[in-house]
Amino acid sequence: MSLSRTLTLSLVATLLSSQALAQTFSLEQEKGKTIRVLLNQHPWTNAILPFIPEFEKQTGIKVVVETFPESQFRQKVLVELASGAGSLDAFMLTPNQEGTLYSRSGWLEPLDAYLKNPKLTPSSYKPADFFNTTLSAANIQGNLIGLPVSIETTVLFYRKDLFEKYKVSVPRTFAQLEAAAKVLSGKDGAVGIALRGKGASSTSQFAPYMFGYGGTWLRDGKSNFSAPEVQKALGYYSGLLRNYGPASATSMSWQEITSLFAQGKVAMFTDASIFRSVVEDPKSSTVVGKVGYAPFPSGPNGRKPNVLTWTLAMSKSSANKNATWLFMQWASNPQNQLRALLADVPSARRSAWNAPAYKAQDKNPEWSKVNLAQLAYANPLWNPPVSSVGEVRDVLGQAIVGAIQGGSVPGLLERARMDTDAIVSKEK
Amino acid sequence: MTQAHIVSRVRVQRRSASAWLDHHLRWVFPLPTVLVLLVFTVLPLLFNLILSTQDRSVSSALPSRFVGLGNYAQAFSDPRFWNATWLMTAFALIAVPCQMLLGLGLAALLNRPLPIQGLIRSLVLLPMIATPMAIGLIWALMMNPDLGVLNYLLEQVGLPRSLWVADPKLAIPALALIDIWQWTPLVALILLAGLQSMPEEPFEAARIDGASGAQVFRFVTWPLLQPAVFAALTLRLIDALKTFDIIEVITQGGPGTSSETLNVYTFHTGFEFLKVGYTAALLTLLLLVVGAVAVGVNLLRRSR
Repeated sequence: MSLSRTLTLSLVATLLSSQALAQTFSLEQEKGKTIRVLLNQHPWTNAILPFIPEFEKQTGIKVVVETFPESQFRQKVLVELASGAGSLDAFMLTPNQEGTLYSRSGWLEPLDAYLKNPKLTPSSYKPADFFNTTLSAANIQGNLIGLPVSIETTVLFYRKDLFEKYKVSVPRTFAQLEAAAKVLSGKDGAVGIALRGKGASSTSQFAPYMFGYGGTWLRDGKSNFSAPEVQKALGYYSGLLRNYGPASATSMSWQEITSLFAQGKVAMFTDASIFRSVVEDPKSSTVVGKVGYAPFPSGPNGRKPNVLTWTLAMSKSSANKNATWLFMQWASNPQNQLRALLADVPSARRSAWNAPAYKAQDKNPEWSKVNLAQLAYANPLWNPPVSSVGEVRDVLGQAIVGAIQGGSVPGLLERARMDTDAIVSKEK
Repeated sequence: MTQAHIVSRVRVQRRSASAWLDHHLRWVFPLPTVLVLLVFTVLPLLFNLILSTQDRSVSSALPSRFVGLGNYAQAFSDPRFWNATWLMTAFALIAVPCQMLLGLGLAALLNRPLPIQGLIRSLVLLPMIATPMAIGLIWALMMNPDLGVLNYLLEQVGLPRSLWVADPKLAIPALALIDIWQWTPLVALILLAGLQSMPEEPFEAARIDGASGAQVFRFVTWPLLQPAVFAALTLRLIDALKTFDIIEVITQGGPGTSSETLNVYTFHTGFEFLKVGYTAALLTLLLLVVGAVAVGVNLLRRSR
């Protein structure tokens, strides 16, 4: 090594260390503060709660946690944010559900500056470790609005024993999916396939089929529902349910589908990977150990499974923003993401899935493999990118119900397009 | 000022305060109730009326402006409003008459001396005291087309399986069935109270005149039971029209909108679509309908 190079290196090192001295990350910098956090009663919440005392001990920050079942949780957050009372600091958020509305309403603190500040975020945080698909989901209108903590992705759940018995290979395309449903329909008391058909709740699981056919939610800021691709997708989706699905398809969401599957009355279904814990629960399921997991099949436009990302977000009116941030980055750091995955909660970080500790205890490597593979390319838009998500979901949900009941697909979708345009055109 | 002077002044003041109280007692006693009504009923009602004239959401990211009666006009041209109003009416028209008839029968039965009367009366009341959420969840399970016990029972007696609430045409009748199960005991209880408070003399007179059982019921029991019948009818009609919990728990208005009654629809426009102004208008309309029905039943009673 030449002398000048050594000098330059040492100079750089000195500069870096002096900068580091000026802005060191310290866990105790917000000691004595109290923050209030609203969490959904989600598996991730159960996984992280036991470790919160550890955070309190390390930082001297007191964390007051309130948890609610999902629908009450979402309403509670909405009411607290809308009232503008500064008592809420952090909360769980699915950016593609409420992110656009909350962001446009000015209720969310943009997080980019916190993430880039070495005083608040240690270098061990490694944002690049998050799957791109989850980080892009948490980016609304150019701002990072949440730190990913857990993901769900659409996968194919299938009964290995039935597939083997009737010599059906695992479907890789929409055409093969339909062929498999046809063969398995009515075999051993099971329907060929089950998919969500219950109004608004079905739209997020219809989305992978819509994108698989090349459809999209919007085109140039307007509804794209009457496009031929969406028509084909809805024709296919409703046809599967009408011909090979349960008779009560239009009243089935994930609760009904997973319990029917757990009772051995469904040969396969596509829905969020997190429901493995339901269909493999030995207390309530009769198909434990018989369930296979495969990537979401590909359509004419390729494989387009969803990825839903749960994040931790910060309220704009929080009075303790730095303390809140310390909690958020702690909860989503590599160590805690691994802890969550060790409790079978799908992680948003690549390092957790690849950690030897997880591989050693992995109860279902097939499930892990499918999740891991899909996270690289899954579609974060499981909802339309609008403010009035609930209303647009309801409109499309009515079209899905109508199609399953045998209505005219182009007519139903044309009405959904007009209704959606009326809703979206009013948004600011 | 002497001490005696002061004491007498205090006495006078005390006397005048109590005299004031005595004088205004009819205003003072109801005051707490009036205040509570004002704060929890009248003010929210007024606020709701004001909201109903605005196109308003929870967020500034969605439009907010004064629209006068625009929300009401929108409701009258909204096919889902008419669908919801019709379903609300259909639900009440199926549930309430069945409850009245069954309740009358049950009351007549309970009015006889029965061996284990106390136990039977308590058992009959059970559906009424159970939590509506729990009732909804249990019935949803029983009506599940694939796993529910109702279809199992149908098959046992050789009848075809039914989709129950998953069938668009059956959803409202099936939900009404649950309402009937839940609220018949209340009707029975009110009518039983009516039966038991009847004087003996008219029955004696009728028996002496040689009236048959049917005649006694038609010309003595039934007229004497009118006040109880109208009380039960008013209560049940109002409640049936604004039924919410069991429908929201079991079908959330589905399949599609085939069980979306007006109250369920307003919940969706409010909490899912966040259209606060429109929801306020729908709620005002619901209040008008329910109020009109209550007044109508009352007028019917007076005309008798």
